[in-house]
Amino acid sequence: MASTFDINVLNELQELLEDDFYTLIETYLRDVRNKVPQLKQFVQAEDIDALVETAHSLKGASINLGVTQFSEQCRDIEMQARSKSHVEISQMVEQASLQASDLTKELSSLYLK
Amino acid sequence: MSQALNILIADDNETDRMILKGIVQKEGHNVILAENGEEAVRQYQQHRPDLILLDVLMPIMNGHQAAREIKALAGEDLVPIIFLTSLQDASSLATCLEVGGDDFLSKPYNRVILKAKIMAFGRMRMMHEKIQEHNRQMLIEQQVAKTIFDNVAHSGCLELDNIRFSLSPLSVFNGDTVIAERKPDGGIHLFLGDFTGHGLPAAIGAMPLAEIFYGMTAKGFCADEILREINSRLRNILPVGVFCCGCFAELDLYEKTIKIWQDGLPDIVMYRANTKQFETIKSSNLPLGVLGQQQFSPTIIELPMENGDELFVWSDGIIESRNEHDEMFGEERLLHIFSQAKDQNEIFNSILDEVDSFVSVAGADDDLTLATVKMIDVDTIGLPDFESNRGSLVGPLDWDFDYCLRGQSLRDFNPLPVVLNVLTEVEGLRSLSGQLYTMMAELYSNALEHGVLGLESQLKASTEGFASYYMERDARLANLTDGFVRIRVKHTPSNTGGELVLQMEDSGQGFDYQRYITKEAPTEGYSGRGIPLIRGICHEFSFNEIGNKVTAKLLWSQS
Repeated sequence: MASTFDINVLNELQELLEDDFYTLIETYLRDVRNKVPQLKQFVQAEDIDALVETAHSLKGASINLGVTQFSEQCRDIEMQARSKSHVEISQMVEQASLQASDLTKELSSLYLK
Repeated sequence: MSQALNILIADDNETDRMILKGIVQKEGHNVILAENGEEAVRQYQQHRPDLILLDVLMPIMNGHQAAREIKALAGEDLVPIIFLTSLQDASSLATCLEVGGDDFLSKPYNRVILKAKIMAFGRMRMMHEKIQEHNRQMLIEQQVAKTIFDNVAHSGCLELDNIRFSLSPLSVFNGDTVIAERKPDGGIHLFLGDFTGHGLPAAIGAMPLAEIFYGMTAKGFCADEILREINSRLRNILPVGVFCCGCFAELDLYEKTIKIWQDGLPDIVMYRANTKQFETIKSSNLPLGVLGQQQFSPTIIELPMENGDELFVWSDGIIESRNEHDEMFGEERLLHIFSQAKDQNEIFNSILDEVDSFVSVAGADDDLTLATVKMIDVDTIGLPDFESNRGSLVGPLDWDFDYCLRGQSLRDFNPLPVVLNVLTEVEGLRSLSGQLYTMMAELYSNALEHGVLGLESQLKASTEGFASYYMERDARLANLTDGFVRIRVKHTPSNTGGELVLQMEDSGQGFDYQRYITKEAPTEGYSGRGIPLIRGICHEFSFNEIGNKVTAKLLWSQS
């Protein structure tokens, strides 16, 4: 099991962006807050294309912020959806959703006091 | 640090945009943002950025399509596109390259790698701009040089009705040269040259060649003398391995003969208008610019040429044209055109058309050059017009000289250009230089051939006799040890202009000048050219008692 964050990536970004770093975290968390419920909707509606696209977008953004574990979950959802195998996909989305709320709490407490 | 670049970042994900923007700005570059492919294309048109970072999966228009449109808009400009991708499979990466992508950047974005890529593409773009600038500059320079080149290398008397030519350059410059010029006596010199290589290096050698050709032709020098001069000049200036293949044709419009010198070019064709037959003439010399002046000894052949007979010369580009199966057009196809020709006037275009349709889609890979010249009467095209360009100077008016050529001088030297140069220093005689040259050429060859060498002019009346006449002349010249031709010229000013007295005396026995002087038709036999013309410009024209000294007096007045 990968760790939740790659703290080196976050440190580098903080150094690079300085005050904008906090805006980045806020933007990222807003993105997660919007898109995770969409994942659930797309699974229910069996809208594969939208599911792939949203998971892909979350994956990319998460990698860049060093949010390792969540990005891997999104990657798995994207691959599963691409292979058109629906088995376990709603469970994977459920787990990702739980992870999303965890990481939101952690990132908020780390950077957004 | 290199200069700041304008960098377009196109990504639909806001956090990705923020991170990339942060990295790029930190490196000192300017950022333009777009949230989808369509906006990216719009921003490209508006800002013309130096580099584009382009996400693949974007709403409205994806990165692939945006790349296609931007590359199409960019045209010749280099716009490096770096695709931002977390895609892993090979085929989607390949698509990125197919649509014009230059590189990839995978997530998570690494600041050091992105910095290195931006610098590399920035350098590439600067080099590309420099090259483009050089190219533009070079094209402008080539166009200017081409204008000068064309004025020098493709002028002269190529516009005459009896000359046709076609040059198809492989680049701005042509390694082939076609030049033609009138001799003072009205005759025509035509030269087709093919320098090794193409383009500017090949063309540049044509400049001194053309200058020598025009200058010496206008002064009355003959093929042999001009070729020697060109050869030694080219030998001095051309690098080793660069030389000029060519064909030099000298048409004598009075005698109806042609002298041909040829080197390194494919066989040329003499087409006979009356019989519709043709002869091929082989190359028998080394190219110009190869041998030193001691070794260079041009072999020139001489043929009779009736009015309407046409000489065809071409560069090897015609014969060596290849079609898409890599076959050469070849001599056989070329000569076939001549044997099948129904109308002589169609041959020229037939050759060009057939080579063109043969090469077809393959495209030419050498300069293609074709030139023809027909025998014609001097009356049809007139004498050349040597305009004075020296203003109102009158030149020397009061002088005389006595120029006596003996033995070896008669054998190896043509004194007429030198004498003509002295004569035309008199401004009033300059416009008559064509007639003067013709008259002197006539009197000198009479003095030498009939006087000193004792040849009978009747010999030349038939084609066979013509050949044996010239063989006999060459044989007698080779054995010549004594004998002389003396040229005396005296010029005196008059109230209105001047008086020129020219005397030509030889060591021969003299001949029946009465018959000669009263002969009316200039083309009767092969001899006696230009007599009406001489009578036309001379006020007095007389022989001494035994017939080995002729005196011509000419008056001119200022107009």
